[in-house]
Amino acid sequence: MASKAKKHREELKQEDILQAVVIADSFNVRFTPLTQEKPRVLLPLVNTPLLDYTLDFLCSAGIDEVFVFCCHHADLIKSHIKASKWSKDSSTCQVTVIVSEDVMSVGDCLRDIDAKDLITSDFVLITGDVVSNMDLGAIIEKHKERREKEKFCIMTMVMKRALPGHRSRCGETDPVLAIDVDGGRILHYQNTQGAGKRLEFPTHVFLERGQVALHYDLMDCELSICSPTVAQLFTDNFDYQTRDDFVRGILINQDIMGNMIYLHRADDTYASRVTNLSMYDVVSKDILSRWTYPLVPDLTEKGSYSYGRHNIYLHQENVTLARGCELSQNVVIGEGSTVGMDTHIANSVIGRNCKIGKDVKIEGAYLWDGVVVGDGCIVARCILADAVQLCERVTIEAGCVVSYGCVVGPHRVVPAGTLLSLTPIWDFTLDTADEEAEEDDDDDDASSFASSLDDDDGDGGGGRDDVDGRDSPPADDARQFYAEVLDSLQRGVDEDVRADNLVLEVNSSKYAYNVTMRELNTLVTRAVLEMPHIRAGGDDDAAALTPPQLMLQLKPLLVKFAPILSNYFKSADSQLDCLNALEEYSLGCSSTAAVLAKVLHYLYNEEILGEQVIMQWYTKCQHADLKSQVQPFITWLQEAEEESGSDEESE
Amino acid sequence: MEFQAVVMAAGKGSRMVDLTAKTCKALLPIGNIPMVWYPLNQLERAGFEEAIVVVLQSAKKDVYLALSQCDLKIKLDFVSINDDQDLGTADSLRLIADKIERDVIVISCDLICDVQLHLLADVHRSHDATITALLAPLPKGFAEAVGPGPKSKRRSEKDLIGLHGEDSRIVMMGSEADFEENISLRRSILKRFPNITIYSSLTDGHLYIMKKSVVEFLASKPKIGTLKGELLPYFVKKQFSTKKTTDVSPTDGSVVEVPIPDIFSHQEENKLERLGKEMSSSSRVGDIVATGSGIRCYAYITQDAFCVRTNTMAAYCEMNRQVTKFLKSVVSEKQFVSSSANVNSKAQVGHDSMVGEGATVGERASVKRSIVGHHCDIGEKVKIANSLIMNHATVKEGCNLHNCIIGPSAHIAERAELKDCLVGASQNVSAMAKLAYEVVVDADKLMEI
Repeated sequence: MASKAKKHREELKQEDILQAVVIADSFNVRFTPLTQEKPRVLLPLVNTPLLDYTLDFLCSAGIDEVFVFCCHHADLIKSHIKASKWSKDSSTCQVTVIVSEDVMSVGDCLRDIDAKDLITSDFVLITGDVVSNMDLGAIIEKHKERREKEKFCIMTMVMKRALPGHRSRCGETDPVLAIDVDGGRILHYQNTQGAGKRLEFPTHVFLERGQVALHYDLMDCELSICSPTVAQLFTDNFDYQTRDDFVRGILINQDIMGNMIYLHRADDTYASRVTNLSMYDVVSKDILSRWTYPLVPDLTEKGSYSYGRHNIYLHQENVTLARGCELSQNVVIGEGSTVGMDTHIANSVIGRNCKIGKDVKIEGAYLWDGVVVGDGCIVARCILADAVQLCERVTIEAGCVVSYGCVVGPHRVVPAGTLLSLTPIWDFTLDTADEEAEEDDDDDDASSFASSLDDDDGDGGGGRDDVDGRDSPPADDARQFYAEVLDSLQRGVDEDVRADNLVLEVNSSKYAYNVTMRELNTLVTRAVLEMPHIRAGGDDDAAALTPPQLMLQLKPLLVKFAPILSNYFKSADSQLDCLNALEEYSLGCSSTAAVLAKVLHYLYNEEILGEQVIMQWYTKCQHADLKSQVQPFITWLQEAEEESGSDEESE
Repeated sequence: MEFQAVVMAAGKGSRMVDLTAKTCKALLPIGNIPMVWYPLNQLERAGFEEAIVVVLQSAKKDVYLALSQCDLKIKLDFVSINDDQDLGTADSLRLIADKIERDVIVISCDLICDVQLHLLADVHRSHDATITALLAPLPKGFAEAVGPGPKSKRRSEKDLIGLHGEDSRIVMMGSEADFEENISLRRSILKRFPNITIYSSLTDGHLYIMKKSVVEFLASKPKIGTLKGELLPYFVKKQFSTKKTTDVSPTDGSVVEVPIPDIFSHQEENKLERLGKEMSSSSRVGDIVATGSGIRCYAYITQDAFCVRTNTMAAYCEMNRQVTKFLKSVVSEKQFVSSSANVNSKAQVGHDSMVGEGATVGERASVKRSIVGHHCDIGEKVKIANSLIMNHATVKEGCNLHNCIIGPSAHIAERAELKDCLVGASQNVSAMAKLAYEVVVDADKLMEI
């Protein structure tokens, strides 16, 4: 069998070999801290590493040669491939791991591939987190046919229908496409994530052709058939970082360069990417309910799982179910696991060698290998990574992630959305959490996993040190920017620099460190507040200044910087940023909290903050202490408002 | 009858001034029949027994006379509007609002179309639509058709129409000129209609079925002038805005707010629909999403029917060339060469041509893809191709006319050669003249342009 396959491969002409490039790195940190020990593609999805789904999918489509491109934890991926069925002689598909530590993006990968000259013909470009059962072979055929007619068709993107709001539409991209109805050519591609309420489309796209379909119901599977020129184009355009950059670049220049991208709609088949924790949840459920057939546990691991009614999958070896335990539906129990008496499990995946005690309730949870759950625990929708131990009567509320090796003490309640880890977690993204919360206008909180970084790690868990006593650490760039702003402001006071020159300085720092406008608003506010403390001698003890002293210091600073503040806080949004920054700072510094009302009053009088914005912030503010501190000012404001308000009404 | 029919025949033909200087647009002949006959004939074929015809005061008599000569059984109610006020189609409809008792079908006099109207009505009924419009691709030949007269860059008047992929609900509408570099769409609309097909190849046939409430609404809104340009886009837009609820605050009893009548106050709620909404646990009732304003604009797209608006010179010319084909499909027995015409046996008249009553065609003359009007006099050895000769015109021997319009009672002297020319009513073209791309009209009329 083996020699036959090899022979067969030799007989093929060079261009008949189907190649695929698997990008095994996500270049983001959505899965931290779970990806601290393993790369994302090796995280278990229904007890099988994610990468195996992608490779299975490619091999079943008749791909001859697969390049797995990895950088983070490359050695783990290498050894995984070595031990897998694809390294055996019987494999029809040759999997090669390419390691490159210095690539930072998909673009870099393809440039590297182009430099190594690995691609000989049309190839499949796919990320290592795709679970799909579509007929890739047919799609490749179609692509080749099209390319014979149309030389400049350099890419076929595969997309799947998913209406807005559908759970398989992962929140990270929100694409809208304009497609020529006649032929399926993509004319315009736009990721509308964060694009606001109105979407803009170039008019000429619609005028040039009779019928153009605008699709908001397609989901990108990050799966595309590319011609060899794609890799070259990445080399020619070194600013292409992601595939989206590439697609946008090609479409903008399509009239000049003539290159075209086509769409293939795979509507009747399954395809999804595990891009974040909520997609992990969605895809796992889809596998359990067999949408991904034949990629289901009883078939992927060749007979090691039995499949029973109500989608109950039990490993054939060493699974012990005690009397009275109930597996209601959509449950997988891995090799060597035991389930105690009167335990109830539903919609969950239990890994290998797990021990689940008596009278436990598990609903919608993902337990990886070696997890121990004590008696009487209640586990809601969450992920418990390898070797997590829950002692007796622990309650894990929905949306928690418990990282490798954490031990949660007895009778503990872990509140919803908690993230537990033994190693410190750096918040790389300064305010994505806020943004996501804002965009989540739909009511599907059911799929949001822990994104808030609480450091309540229970009794037994190792200590994660509180990183910064007062506030969350800004990202590196933001931190440097903050230092620059502080410097500028200090100098502004010491040397009496004019306000508009200071604005120029701050602006240039903004560009130098590439901070967003929101970050700028927040950080500038904070800098002004922090200055009195620094001037008072070191920031080690924030409470060193008494409130009256602080106000004495702060007042001239506010007067001095008022033009700067009014320069930045023109819109309601930016004013709200300022207020939030004030709030955040006051929470960490009691003396600032004490003078907050006065600061607000001053800013209001200087017309830096608008009345409506202040009221809006006040109603949203959740800190009762702070609210009571500013209460006198708010009452004063309301009274003033009523006076002026009655004038307006009579009009 | 379920619908009342209104034919808008008061257009001044502003896109073809040279032709409409002496005759009103509705009476311009197409295949020797006044233009307004075509929509009336279509209504008649669909089973309408009466129709309201809106005409200009000055032309009322002429239209009445012209139509009484055509064999129409449909009962016509002429309503005239003042020439001096520049009234649009919506203004006209507003004027006759008190005559409208039921849902109404509004059709323009320049629509030449063989669509089965019941198909349009079906769309209207099945979606309980507020307005249903007829959309059609341009038939062959019309896109590239050029009218006579000086060569000028054609101003394209494409419409961009966005239809929901599944049920052809109109989601977006506007003419090319309305949009700047970008088209902006609300995300919420895309969320509700995630699959929109945007057409630039379809034209609005100016054939609408409207609910009675639309006419009532129109009566209260004097600012809306035209149906296509203003009313329809307004309704399309209002589909997605929600009713303003006027809540009177209980503390403030002194001010009693009178709810301002708006577009929604004219939408009478369907009893069945309301019952369905109350009893349903889902927010959808049939295909009608309960949320929203209750205004629904739909389109019917003809697949293979012929549909053209003859509101430009080019379209009017091309229609005359293709009219024989169209008439064959619409009227079972139609003589293309009138029995009272005197056609010399040695003259050639093509199957795609028409010769009107009492016309004479001289020896060895040839008429191809052309219309010769009533009582015309075509001399010997005259060659006419792709042209339209209106009533009582004289073309002397040896002339060569190609792609021309010769106005009524015009006189073309011997051996003139005209190519892509327009000769106005009662104009003379001297013998041996050679003209190309020219317009021959009264000098004082030219001043107006």
